[in-house]
Amino acid sequence: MNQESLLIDDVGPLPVHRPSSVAVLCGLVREAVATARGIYPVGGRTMLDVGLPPIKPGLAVDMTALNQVIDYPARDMTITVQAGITMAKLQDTLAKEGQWLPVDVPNLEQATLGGALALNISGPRRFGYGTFRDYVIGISFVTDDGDEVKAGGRVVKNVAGYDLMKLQVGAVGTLGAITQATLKVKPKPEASAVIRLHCAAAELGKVLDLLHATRARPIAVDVSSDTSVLGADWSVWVAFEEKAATVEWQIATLLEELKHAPVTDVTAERGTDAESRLKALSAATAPTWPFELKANFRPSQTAAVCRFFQDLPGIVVHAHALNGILYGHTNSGESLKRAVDLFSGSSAEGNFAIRRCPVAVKKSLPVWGRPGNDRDLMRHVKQTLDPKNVFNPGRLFGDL
Amino acid sequence: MTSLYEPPASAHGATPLVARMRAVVGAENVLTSPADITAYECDGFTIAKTKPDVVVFPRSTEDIVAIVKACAELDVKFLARGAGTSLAGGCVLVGGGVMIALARMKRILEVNIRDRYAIVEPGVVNVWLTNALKPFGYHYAPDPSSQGACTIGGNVATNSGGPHTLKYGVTVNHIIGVELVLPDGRVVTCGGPCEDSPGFDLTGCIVGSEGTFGVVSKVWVRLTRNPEAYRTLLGVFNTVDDATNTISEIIGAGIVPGALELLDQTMLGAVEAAFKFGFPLDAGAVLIMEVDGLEAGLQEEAERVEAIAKRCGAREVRKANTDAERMALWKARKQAFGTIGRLGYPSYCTQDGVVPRTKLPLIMRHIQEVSKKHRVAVCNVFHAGDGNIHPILMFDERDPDQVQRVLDASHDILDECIRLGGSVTGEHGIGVEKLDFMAKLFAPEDLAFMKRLRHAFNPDNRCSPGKLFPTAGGCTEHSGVHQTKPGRRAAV
Repeated sequence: MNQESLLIDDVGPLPVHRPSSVAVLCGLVREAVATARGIYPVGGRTMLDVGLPPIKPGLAVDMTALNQVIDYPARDMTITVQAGITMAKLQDTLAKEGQWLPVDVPNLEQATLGGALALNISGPRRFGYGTFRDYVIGISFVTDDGDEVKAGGRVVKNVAGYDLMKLQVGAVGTLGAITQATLKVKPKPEASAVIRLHCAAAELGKVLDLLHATRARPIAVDVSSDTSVLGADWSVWVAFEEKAATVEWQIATLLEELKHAPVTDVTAERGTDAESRLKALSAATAPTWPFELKANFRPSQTAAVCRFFQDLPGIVVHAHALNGILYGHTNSGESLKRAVDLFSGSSAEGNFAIRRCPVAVKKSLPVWGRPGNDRDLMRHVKQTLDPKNVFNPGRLFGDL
Repeated sequence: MTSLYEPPASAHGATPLVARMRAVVGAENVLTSPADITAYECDGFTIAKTKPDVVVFPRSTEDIVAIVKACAELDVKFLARGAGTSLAGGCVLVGGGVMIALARMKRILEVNIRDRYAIVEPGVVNVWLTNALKPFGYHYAPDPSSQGACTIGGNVATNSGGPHTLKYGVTVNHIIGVELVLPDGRVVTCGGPCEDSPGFDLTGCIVGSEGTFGVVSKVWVRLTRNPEAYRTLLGVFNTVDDATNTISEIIGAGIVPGALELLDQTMLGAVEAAFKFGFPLDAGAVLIMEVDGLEAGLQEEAERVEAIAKRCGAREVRKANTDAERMALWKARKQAFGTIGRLGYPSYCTQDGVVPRTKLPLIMRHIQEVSKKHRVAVCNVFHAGDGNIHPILMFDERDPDQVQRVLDASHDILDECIRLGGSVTGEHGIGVEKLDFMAKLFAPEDLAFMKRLRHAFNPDNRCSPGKLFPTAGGCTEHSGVHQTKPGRRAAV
């Protein structure tokens, strides 16, 4: 029999198991605990190299066979699915009822819900719709005891018990293997539009202030340094999603407001063009370059941070401007290092994470940013909930 | 009138605990007399009563640190409290100890519109923040009906809801950071004005933990832009069924209103007697239907809602034509509970169940049956769009037979909520009131894992003891908090 295997950050080969049921997964966890090995849950394997290298031998658990829709009462605007479902299948299921989950996940044909939850993936729409923490109302996961545990429920309002949904979202799979989630969903908006404009570096702050204060209500404001227009430094994208009449009013309003603003090449896209544009903006944050840094800071600092990155050679920047989140992609380890140095030494609020870099460099870089005064408590939570360090050992906090 | 200041009592035999608390925060910030402490023995309404040994009023994070460190040293339990408007006994200090009353930490520390957040101390009253934000065109979205009294700290503890959660979410969706004093006195800052900090979302877990993780001493809240416009409609229905069907049809049409609130006939009678709003007293139910957002396209959306309501049997759909009319309608809704006295019953008890919103017709019929079966008068006013019911059971608590029937009816309703796939609390919390339901909602493994999480924050269970989980580790055991009367439960 050919046992599939997998390398994670050059560690391995890790044998890949693809459990056909939660019961089988529970058995794998018990076995791993008994033999002091680690469990590395994997989904669509689109972001496998996010995080620190594994520190324990163990097995990769491919969750993609656990991909069923458990319950979809559309008029309750909730859906319960297994975590191995791909984002594409989830969105297709919802689309049949005119609904969707308004959280952007790149590579949605491969990416699974469980993986997206573990890494708390988001995209341009987070400005208007929030992130996974706003949508997960129930969760199940397998613990270090090999039990499947649940929290929350299937109703949109529920305060019984601790909110383990929040705990699992963004925990990088270190607190258990997510098996199932219940999500709040929304009706798909009637219309979409994206306005694109260009501006010079010196004007970016002014333009973003204008977009913050616009009478329109954008659901996304992204900024990108990847511009082909001569003389312009930054591309800015402003998206609207609403009733058709509301979207048209917002386009007209913003275009009017921009008339005397220091911007050029203002264009509007509508309908499927706008939807494709939003998909492309979402894909722009996927870690595909050799080095990628994600920085988070006050939204009012976006222009200043963009200017800093612009001065580094060979970095392409994409930012969710009104959220204060920026992705810097580069081929240059030196530029990444300079960015890290700035953020490490900065006394300004905010933080960063290196989402992608060669494994050899990971050991010498602060992959998960500058520890805040809550880092000890996080470590303690991890130690209390996974004392044997079974789940994704090493990937979030190193040698716990 | 009682004085907050009492002379140093060392000469009068003050306990070491009281003496210590006076040393820590000053005698003027400590209450000890039985008369003063009585006000802190329970919260809003349906609770156990336990007198704390002492009530202290910290004025700063440093004060809280000193208080909890002293409690650790003296091995005394403690509990933080806001305005005490909670409805499930969350403010009862089970077994006694130090009540940390946060009412004097009431400053709004910062409002930052460009970065869309405010920093507040936990004792800030919910509506103060909304008022402070008025000039900016922003608001703090969670607006529980008790917002005139309840505090942001209390809202964080219970993850409060309110009428606008259908579209805007509950408290946790608007809390981006907290400063937490752990039971051992360490101060931890989780989250803050910058989104997506690496690591666990501890803020998200702390919200709704009913004070069992520590004392929240500072809160970063997300600010939301005000809707540009509203359309507030009042659907008048002959039956509750027609009203709840309307809700499903509105949602099915892809419309997410800002609020969908239902009042049944009995409730209408009380509210009308109090406010003379002009509600039709012969209606089976009315539904407040509010859509909000940008003006462009809103009228069409309101017309769609009106058409749906009429198609579902509304005999009339009224409109609030002015902001004053809208505010009057909301005042009637938010103060509905206060009018129940007009129905002629000496006592009432409110429940807080949730069902999937499409199951509303079933649970409403069930409540009617329960009312008949147990011979208990019930009226309803609730967040219909969320499926969050608030049946109000009315009785005379001097009659033990009525009391028993109210208890049986309440349990009957909550059990049905579970059976229909819902929960026993949408926004009031487990507190001590619903401890025994936890084992019905969750498996022993689920509760054991949650207790492990509590252990990470609060290993000695010194902070807010006796909450959320049935006691003594046995998940199927009785909680030990005995229910003798609805609204009067003796903690043992």
